[in-house]
Amino acid sequence: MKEKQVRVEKARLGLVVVILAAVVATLALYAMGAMKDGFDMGAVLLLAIALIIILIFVLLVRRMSRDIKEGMPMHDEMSKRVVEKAGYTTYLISIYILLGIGIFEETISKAIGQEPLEVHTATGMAILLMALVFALSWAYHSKKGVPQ
Amino acid sequence: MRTRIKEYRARHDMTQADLARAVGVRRETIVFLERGKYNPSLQLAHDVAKALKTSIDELFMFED
Repeated sequence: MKEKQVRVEKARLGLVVVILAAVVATLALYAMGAMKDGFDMGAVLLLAIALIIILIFVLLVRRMSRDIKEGMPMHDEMSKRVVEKAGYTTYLISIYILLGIGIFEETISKAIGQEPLEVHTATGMAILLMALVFALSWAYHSKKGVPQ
Repeated sequence: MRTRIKEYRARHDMTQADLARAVGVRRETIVFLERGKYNPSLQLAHDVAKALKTSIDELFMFED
């Protein structure tokens, strides 16, 4: 890799680390706020999902950092294709996630006598689940390869 | 798809990392290429063949 390209890759990696730190800080604040009024199952679930995503992100950052140190690019045509495949899978599964949340709101929550989810909780859960599906799908395709 | 990348790499005494650096991709991409688990673009196939001083036909074998 050329020196200029290495600088650009390092800057991109730095940006990823800053975004990761911001996400962790936001989650810490959210957890503190949610737990202030006692144990909240919804908040614990959201935090668990978020922690899995963060773990996968940390592994990704470590890999990117290792690639840069070895003089290789952070992204190449295969990694871009893996992201495309993971995005496609996430889109399809997201439809079912949104349907599932809708069904939960309409029927299951009433049947088990639970309070319906608040709009911002349901939205946050949908976004986090989509991110989780993307992260898992990315990890799967990265391990499995892109044969076709 | 099968490839002879590993064989040609050994002939040129190149590691996967050396080949990855030569063609400008990540080492994992070379690993998947060698296992036949990644169909490269024509450009990448050409670059790999050039780095190993051979032709695309020699490196990649497609099964009907």
